[in-house]
Amino acid sequence: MRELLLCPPDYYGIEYEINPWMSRARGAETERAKSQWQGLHQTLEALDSKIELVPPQPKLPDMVFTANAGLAIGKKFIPSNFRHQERAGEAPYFVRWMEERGYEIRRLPENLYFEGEGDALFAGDGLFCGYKFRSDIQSHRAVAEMLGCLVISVELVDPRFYHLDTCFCPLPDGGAVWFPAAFDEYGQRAIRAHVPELIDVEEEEAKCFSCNAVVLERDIVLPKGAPNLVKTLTARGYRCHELPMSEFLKAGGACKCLTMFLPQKEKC
Amino acid sequence: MFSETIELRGHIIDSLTLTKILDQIVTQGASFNTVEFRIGQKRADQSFARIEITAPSQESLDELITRLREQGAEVAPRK
Repeated sequence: MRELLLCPPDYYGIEYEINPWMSRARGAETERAKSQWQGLHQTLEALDSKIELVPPQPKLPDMVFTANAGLAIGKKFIPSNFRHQERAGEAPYFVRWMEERGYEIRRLPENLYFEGEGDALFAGDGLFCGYKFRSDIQSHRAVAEMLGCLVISVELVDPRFYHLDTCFCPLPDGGAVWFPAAFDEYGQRAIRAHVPELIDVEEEEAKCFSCNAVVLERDIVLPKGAPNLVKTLTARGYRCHELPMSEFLKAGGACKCLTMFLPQKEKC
Repeated sequence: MFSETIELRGHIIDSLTLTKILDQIVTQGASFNTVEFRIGQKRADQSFARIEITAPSQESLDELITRLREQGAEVAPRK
């Protein structure tokens, strides 16, 4: 059974603009957001996951996106150093919560930006880490030293896909779902060299954040709006669970952004 | 000619960071000399490269170094 960390959307809303999806003029509908989040919670729970909840905090609307809290490997937790001041206040709450559950906190130097599982996903033989919009490439070296694993840094080039988990989704068979144009040429080559079976997502479906999926063995929980991807995954033997995520897409997030694995992997 | 030495550390081969940096140097009209190169022996071992860059002007060198820093390069301390 996988353990997952979620945060109820009690204080969720579009209160600032730190990515191209966010517009204060186009706010999230509170009740619909709560209903969509409940749908995710129920779906994940029904897939035999243990759901943990971190208490939401006022004035931290993006705390709901727990994937950006940090990176948990075994009982080690590397907390995020958020690039934007608007999100920096989330870090101490996540750290305290993880500490209380016995995680060993391994902090990165303060001058290195790193946004946790949002930019760090295990696939194939390494930990893939995205950089440029949120995390710094320099943080990847520090993460590699802390964990003793192969870290493959890939540059993100499309600001709409500002975190790795918005354009890259590893699958348990060693492959991954991805939107290639979100990466520079070298990132694409590095991914192709290390991940054997890649499923390309077309732009229209990538814009629905279809790569922002929670994968639980053969079950994949993803936002609605990617019929072609669902068809491909189904043909490969995956069960797809499509959820409405419209209110979280307004903040540039969906199923995966709302979920952090506890831990993502037991060891490197 | 104007020179600066940079250092690169990490999984710079698997990530193709070294390739990217060398390509950027050449594309920007500069040249390079590999002063030191240590390749990690095991999968998780990091590699290290010290590279001397030569550019036709201080301005083009500075611009190039700024770009390379964004890719993780550090300017080597002058001896």
